[in-house]
Amino acid sequence: MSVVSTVITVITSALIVYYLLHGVLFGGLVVRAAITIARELAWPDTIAHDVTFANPLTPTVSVLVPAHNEGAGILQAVEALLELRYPHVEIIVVDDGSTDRTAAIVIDEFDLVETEVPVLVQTVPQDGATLATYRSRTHPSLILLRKDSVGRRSDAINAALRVSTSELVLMIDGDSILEPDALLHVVQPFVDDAEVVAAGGVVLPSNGARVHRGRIVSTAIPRGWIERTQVLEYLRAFLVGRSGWSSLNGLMIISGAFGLFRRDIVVEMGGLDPTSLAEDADLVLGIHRMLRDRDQPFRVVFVPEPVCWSETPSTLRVLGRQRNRWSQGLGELLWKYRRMMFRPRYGVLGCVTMPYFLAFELFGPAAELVGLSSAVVGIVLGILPARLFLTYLGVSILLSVLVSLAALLVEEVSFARYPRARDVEALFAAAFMEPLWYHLLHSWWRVTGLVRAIRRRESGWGEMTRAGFGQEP
Amino acid sequence: MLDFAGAATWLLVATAGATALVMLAIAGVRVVTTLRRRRGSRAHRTAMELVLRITDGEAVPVPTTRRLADALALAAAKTVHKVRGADRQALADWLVEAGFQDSALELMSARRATRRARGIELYLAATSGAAPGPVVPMLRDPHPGVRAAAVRALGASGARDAVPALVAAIGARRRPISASAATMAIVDAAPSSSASLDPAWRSDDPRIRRIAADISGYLELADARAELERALTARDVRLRTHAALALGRIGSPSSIWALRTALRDADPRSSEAHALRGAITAVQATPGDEAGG
Repeated sequence: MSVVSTVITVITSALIVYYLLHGVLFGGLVVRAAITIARELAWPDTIAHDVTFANPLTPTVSVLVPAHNEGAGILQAVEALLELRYPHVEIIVVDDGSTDRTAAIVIDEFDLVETEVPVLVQTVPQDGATLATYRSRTHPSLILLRKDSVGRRSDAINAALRVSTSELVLMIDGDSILEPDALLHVVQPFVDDAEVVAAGGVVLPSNGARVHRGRIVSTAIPRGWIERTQVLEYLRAFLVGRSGWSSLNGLMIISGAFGLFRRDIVVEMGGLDPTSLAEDADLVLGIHRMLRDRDQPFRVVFVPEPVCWSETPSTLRVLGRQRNRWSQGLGELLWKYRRMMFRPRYGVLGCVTMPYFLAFELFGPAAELVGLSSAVVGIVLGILPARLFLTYLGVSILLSVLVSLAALLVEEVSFARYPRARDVEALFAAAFMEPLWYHLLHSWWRVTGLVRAIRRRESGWGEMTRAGFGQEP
Repeated sequence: MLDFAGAATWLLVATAGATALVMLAIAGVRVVTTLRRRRGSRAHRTAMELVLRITDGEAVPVPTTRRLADALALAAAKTVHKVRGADRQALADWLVEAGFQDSALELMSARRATRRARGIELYLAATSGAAPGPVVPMLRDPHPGVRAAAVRALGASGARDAVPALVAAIGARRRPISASAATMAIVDAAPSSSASLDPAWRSDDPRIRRIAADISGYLELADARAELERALTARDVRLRTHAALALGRIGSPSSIWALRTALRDADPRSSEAHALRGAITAVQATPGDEAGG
């Protein structure tokens, strides 16, 4: 056997083991997620939310809304927040140097007047100077803070955190629409368990949904294949990934679009890391490290029921930039917290979640590239039969489809948030199409993000062209 | 040498089979859940109509079908803590007559935690919170979810007799309950005297005494004044702060001296001093012989 043949055999064997391991781990996550969600749904909640809603001691929540050129969706987002079924909500919108009418819309629509809003936390840094603060005359719990942008979402969140007054802080995006009961659901773990320090909920693409007075009144799968594929991605990431990791107390990411934290813990962390591209995951990992280091019992949980609807990119250009940034952020994050990896002190997070993200999320595309290159070389040199390669390609495509369908099955069994049969058909089609086009592009974006992380390139706010929400007449 | 070809063919067949199975499962689940939801929503509508008729004092016969009986039990559990007075009593009486109290007690000793939690809700619905006895031991249930359900149900049903047990369960070393949930439940139950908080006042743990201070303040329990004034001299600064806030809420002018003494000893820039100043302002605003002295 020649050297090349040996190398190709070794690479092929290693990759088979690699993908087998990935399949086993992800399969395990699907099962864990399904069990966790089923258990969650079996609990009676007939009175929990009513009790929480009506009680004077219900934890207060400050909603931090960073907005950078969110003119297309900010009105509906704020309307949705004002419609939340929750007794004590403070809403802090941060207009982070928008060049569109984001601030003007909030000021005009909700009757805001310039007023002083005191900074309560000096220990949280803020780089961009505050230009003005406003409070609504019609909704006194609504605050607008206008600041200079330094090109980072984390700085906008930190600015809001500094003036927030509640026990819990909810971080969402400027284009997010929360379901009316979302806060009651996501606050409940904090009420029931003093060890809960952070909780995340499900984020789903709002593209295709219709909004009336800040409420999602109908959900439908979006028409574009880019957005449809993202629906599948979000179902996989949230229903399977996060539910599964949370059940093992190894949740590494709480989405920046919908994450609730104990304010004192976030303040103790010094707010969000202004240099991080994955500031949401950075916060969660930082909390894990801080609390584990001082042996303080804590839980970071995921609540699968409430939904935050958020607009996702509808063009390849914007999506590519976003995924590029995510991949770069993940690389930088894992490097920053590398000392937590493989250390039993950090539990499942350090021993399983982080290595999983490193091996399969960050380096997954690179492994694919190696596999593909070795296969091509093997076929050209006649070492690898083309038929064998095609069979493995078929397996890999079907596995990818299977993972998406498994997530869809969990969604169907639990919540079935897409009521029409044709929505499910569209998702079936998207699941089969995804490996043939989207996966390739996604792998490319992730590889370039990884390269940027290795080369330590700077990145800022992800500019996104918003279409806004479909309005119910 | 590994048999790559054999393994690949096997994997292809297995993944294709699994994919087809999952697709069938999705289709099957959709059909089944659609039918179940339709039937469930019909049963819920009927059950809610029955609940309304019961609260109106009509003699409603016990449902003959299991589905409707379950829906009725659920609807009653949802409704009972939202209604008061005669409506609540009518609903509770009917549930007892229809045998739901016995079913609830059976459920409370079920093996599955979720069934025990359902039993708790149903039991308190059936008894209108008047006899919380069987629920109190559930505050020590091995499952935290059941303990949480017991806490909520006791609060929602206004079971004042259960307050001492709730207070004791907060400080339990083994199988504790959430202090936040218990505090909320006690506020809901609204005891009229701070005597029911005795276990908390006697606790060595300042966190537990803080809870007693919070509850006394929110419920404006005037008879907690002596304990709160004593708490102003505690070593724990947060307990002192909470006690000051509670005294401010109670607003008794008699507390002015204790508050002023505490303010003299407090760091003037601390949140404790801020709370004390607020409390002094509040009690001075209350008419009384000793205020403003």
